[in-house]
Amino acid sequence: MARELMSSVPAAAATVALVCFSFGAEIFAATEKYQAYLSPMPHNDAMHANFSGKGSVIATIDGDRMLVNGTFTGLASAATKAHVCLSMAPGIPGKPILEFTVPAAVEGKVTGTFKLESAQVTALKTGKLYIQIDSEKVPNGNLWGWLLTEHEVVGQDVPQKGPWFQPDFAIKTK
Amino acid sequence: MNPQQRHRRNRVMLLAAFAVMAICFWIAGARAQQALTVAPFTDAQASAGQATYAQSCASCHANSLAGSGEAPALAGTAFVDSWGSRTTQELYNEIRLAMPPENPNSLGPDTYAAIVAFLLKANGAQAGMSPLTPDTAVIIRSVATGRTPAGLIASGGGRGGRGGGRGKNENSGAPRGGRTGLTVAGTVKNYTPVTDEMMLHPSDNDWLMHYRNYSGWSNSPLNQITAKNVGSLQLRWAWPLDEGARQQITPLVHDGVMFLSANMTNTVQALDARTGDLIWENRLGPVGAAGQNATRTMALYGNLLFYPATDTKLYGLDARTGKIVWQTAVSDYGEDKIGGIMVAHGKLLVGLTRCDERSDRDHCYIAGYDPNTGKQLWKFYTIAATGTPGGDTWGDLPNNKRAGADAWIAGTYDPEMNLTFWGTGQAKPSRRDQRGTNGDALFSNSTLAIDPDTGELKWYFQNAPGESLDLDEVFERVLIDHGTQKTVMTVGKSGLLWKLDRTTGKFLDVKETVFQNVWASIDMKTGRTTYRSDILEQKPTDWLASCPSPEGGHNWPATSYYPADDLIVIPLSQTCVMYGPGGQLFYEMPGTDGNLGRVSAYETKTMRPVWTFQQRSPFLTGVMSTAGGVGFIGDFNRVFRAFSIKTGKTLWETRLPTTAQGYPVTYSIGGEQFVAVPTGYNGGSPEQKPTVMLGGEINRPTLGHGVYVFALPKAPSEKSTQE
Repeated sequence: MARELMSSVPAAAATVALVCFSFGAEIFAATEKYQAYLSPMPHNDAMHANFSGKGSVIATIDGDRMLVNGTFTGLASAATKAHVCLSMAPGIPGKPILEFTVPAAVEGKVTGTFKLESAQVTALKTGKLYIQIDSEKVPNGNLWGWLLTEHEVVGQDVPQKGPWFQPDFAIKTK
Repeated sequence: MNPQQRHRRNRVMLLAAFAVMAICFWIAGARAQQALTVAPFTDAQASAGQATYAQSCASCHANSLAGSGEAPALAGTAFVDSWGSRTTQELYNEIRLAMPPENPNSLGPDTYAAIVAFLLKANGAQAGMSPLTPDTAVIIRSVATGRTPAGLIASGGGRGGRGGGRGKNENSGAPRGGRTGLTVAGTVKNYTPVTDEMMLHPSDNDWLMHYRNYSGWSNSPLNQITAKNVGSLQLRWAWPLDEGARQQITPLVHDGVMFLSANMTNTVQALDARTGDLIWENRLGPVGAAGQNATRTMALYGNLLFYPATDTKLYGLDARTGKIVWQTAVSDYGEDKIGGIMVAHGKLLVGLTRCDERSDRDHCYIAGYDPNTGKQLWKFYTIAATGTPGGDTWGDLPNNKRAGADAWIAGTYDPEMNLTFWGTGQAKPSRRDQRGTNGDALFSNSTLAIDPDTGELKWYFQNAPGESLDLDEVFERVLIDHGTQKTVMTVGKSGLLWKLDRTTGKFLDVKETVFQNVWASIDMKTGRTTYRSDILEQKPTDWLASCPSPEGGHNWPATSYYPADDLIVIPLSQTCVMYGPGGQLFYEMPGTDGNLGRVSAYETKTMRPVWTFQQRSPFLTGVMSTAGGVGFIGDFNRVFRAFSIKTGKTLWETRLPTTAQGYPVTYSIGGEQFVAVPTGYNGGSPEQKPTVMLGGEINRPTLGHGVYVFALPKAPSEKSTQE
């Protein structure tokens, strides 16, 4: 019995390892990163003082799970809410579809884990999801940033060789 | 009660109900009528507001309150659609916090209240007994109809006249001692008349025209300043220009003489380009009538220097002495402005802009003049009128409602084809819903190939048909050949870099240089662009998102073509806008990580992106490239830099007193290469949008119009000889 057990251990271990490996490979294959630079939402001169702040967010998608991690700073008033929003395309305001918490402060971290529907995963992959942070003075959106394919962010004035990152919108037809 | 009685009773009750409803409607209507007759301001207040409006607002929003360019209409349906549901207090606060653009909240609460009173009156509100105060909060639609009372606004309805500068600072440039005319007399010695041959093959030492050569390259064959030595550039001399108005000039240099202008006072000057000594000065005037236009170009030909004054007078000055040889009114509509000018094939070509009053007679055009006399030879209207080719692209819109297609940037010229290439701006009003037609609106936002001798249109290509977001396609048309293929390239506010066959206008290629979300599709066979569906279906009450914003993409700061590596180097901006009732809201472009400014280089044969660099501050000069492999550009944050044309790497930079604004040039005198860059402030979208977005982050002085000239250090022996 013991011998049988002993002999079956390597097989079981191998099976587990294989499963883990396959699973891991699947996870590895499915994990993608998206990044957003948070900047003030649309405003004019008169509104400018309340719309300060910036931040950045990394969203990791693992199958249908999205993990959001980021920071923000420089708000003119304390943050109140954070949302994942769905829009028609980058740069076009949309509507909140998911909410997560933010510290009630002018700077801090944002984190959230979400289960996305397949349409939402597609939206993420096509640049239609953005992160929005509301604040006391700007309750309908102070900062926002589109979740775009992970790309190199270089410092100020640092030249990049082409081709460089640029979201695509127009469909080119022939 | 039998059924008949019941039916009769029901009918009676129904009639009674209708009668009650009718009475209710009548009472409500009467109340509304009453509300429209009494508004919370006095006549005296409105009169005071009208005077302030003429002084501080009309230069952008027009005397007629019809708006112009980016300045929205402040009277009529457009105004009531935008502001009707909001309160007088909101309007007061909007104006106080945002206006005048260069100095918001500078006029005092009584003055702002008076302006609001005037706007209400101009929209049909009846003055009452109580003055409007900052706390007055009345729904605008309840007092204003959008119908301007007859006689309130002077006919002609143009933009502000004298003193109508944009804000306090635009009015600060009073003429020196109030003098006008030839205030400094002098003579340029040994001046060589500029010939056609010189224009075709400019001396390496000169910067004879706006883009230095006819092809629009903004490139110089000078190579004394190189990537290796540019780090030792030193300021050689500087020259202030009259403050005020929009300063975006191109210095012209010929035979060691630099010609400058200041459009606040319409002053033209000639300086020794080596030392910065003034040779002559002509203060042509008028003062303070610049309004919404910058003077970017002058032109040289023969012994003449051509200057487009802000009152649409075109001057032929003797380049040697500054004396007026001839002058002519380019438009009989005094509120128009002269856009770009150039000389090609012995003709002085002039583009007209800001000619967007709603009338039959005031339409933009490109015209040819005899450079020796100022006599107009031909005129090509950029608006296709009813019954003319392209006229049907405006639908049923009558001619007096067709506006825009401004020619506000100078053209380029192919001497072999004897064709001049110009761009045009968008149709006006910018939004389709306000314009009243969904048609293509020819020849707005188009590339035009025109015979400089006759004004005949040889071909056109419309870069942005039926444009709707104030995204001009008017900028420089750069002529580049690849073997036998002759192309014309341009990039517009939407950031599309176009390549056309310049013999036919046939579309060849297009590249998105910045993120854009306005064109949903581009037909790569024809170049036809199609808007996003919500733009096509827009209504006056809709908010529309536009990336890029009217700042561009690309704007008036011109590209440079560097022939050695076939690179076109493009200054770009990365902002977006929400357009909606009551104005514009700005934001950063997605994917740009906080960088509002970008410069990108593309190989023109392949359209391959070669390098790019970004920074927080947007760029506000054109790019100038030299055979030394060095490019130059200046920015909003007062930095003027030299960079490697091959890689984009910064090689040298210096800080200027205010924003580098205008077109850098280079020239040589006695074997020494100089680089000149203008500084300035005030401007349209490229300057205004960043001013809002970078408010409190980048603070600039609102003084400092001038020109700064740099060169390599002098050798010790040379120094002592000159000293």
